[in-house]
Amino acid sequence: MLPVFRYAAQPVRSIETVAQMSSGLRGFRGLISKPIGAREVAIWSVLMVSVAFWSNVMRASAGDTPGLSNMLAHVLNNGAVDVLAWMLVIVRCGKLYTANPASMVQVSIAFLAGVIVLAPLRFASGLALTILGVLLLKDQHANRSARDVGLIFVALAVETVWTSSLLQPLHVLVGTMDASINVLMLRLFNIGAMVHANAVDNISANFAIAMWPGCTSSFPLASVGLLFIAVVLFLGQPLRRFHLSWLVASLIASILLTEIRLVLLALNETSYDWWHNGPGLSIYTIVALVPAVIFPILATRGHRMADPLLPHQLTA
Amino acid sequence: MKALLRSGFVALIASTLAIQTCASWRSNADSNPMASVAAGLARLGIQPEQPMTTDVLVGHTMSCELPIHAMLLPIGGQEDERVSDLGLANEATRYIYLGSVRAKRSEAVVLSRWLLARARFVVGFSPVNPSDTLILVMLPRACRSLETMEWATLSPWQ
Repeated sequence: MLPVFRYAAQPVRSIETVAQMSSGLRGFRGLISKPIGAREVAIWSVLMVSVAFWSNVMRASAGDTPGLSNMLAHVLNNGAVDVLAWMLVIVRCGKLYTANPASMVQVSIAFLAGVIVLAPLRFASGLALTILGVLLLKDQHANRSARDVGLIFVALAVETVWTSSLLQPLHVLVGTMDASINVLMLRLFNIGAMVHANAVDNISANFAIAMWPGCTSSFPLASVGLLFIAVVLFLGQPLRRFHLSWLVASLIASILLTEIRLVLLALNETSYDWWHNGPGLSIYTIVALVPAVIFPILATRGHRMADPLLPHQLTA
Repeated sequence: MKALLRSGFVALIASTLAIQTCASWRSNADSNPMASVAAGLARLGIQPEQPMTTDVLVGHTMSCELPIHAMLLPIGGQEDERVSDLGLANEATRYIYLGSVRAKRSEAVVLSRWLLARARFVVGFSPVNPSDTLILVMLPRACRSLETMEWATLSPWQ
């Protein structure tokens, strides 16, 4: 009886195994065919470019020794505007897209961005930010949060390229113009001065300064633009056409403040030390921050029903 | 599929972090470019007079009584006014950058060479990050033989 029992039991067990296998196969097929959500792909994309962006910022530059203190110093030198912009991205990140499955284009672009940022260059981060930003701005299925993040991405990309080594010759060119303006302003105060390319020679004080790319009036413009967009979006409004005039006003204010600072730097060595390295630097930073923050606040006040700059900005 | 895509994203993030960490530790640009210029001049048979004490290097050679001057300039052009201040009436100039030797400064040549060298460094074909300074050599016009020397030795292509 025992062999018969064994024989009888085995087919039953076999049937169970087949059923389990079939169920497992269905589950496996389900796992394979289960599409990834558009929101999840967007979050992965943001994660990839943010890791690359901040890694590039924190990476030690020439002559530095890699270490935590140097990394923190690089983040602080990079400026608070980028931190603010990325905070906005993180806040909006969880609300990107609806629960729909991701399209093949979205997945492909996410991977393309991920591959681009493998290159340890700030320019690569800028390129990936541009690609993702344009995708978020152009996608018909993207909601308001996605468009906000898209705008921030494009602004961050512009800032990355604007402050890169590639555009240094442009800032040097602007530096020569700044030097000429500086000399004109010094002469207005009856201070004898001469200009040599991007250098200002204050003859009265026997003191000279050179306009390096980081000191020119053009250098901070991309950050001012980024701050303007970030503040407008933080106030919960989409960017509208009439905001552009306020943005231009904000950029002009930044240029004027830089020119005034450069005159103060060129006065004499004591003034240079105070405004370049001393307490004057903090005062200038605060004064420069005021119009950069106030202008977008004024721009968004009482104009909530105006046309959005982007055609689909209010649809989602 | 979902798990595969997630794995791909995680792999890309991990690779980014790994590459960035490696890039931090890889050799950076020349830490003392003036000393390298002095060594390059010595290889050409020019004896540097004051290495590393000033930002202008003065050299002498047996074939010419007049001194040769060499200085470093940022490739962005920040210090070009220094050259105009020098008033080089009696001297011929050589702008040397990554194997290129030119009598006049060419932004396009400098930028293209920097980009190519930087790309080679990034992908690992070159171990050296390209310098962000070019070398300007000022040669006395009276000594014509100096103009035909292998000045690219001072900043060879990497």
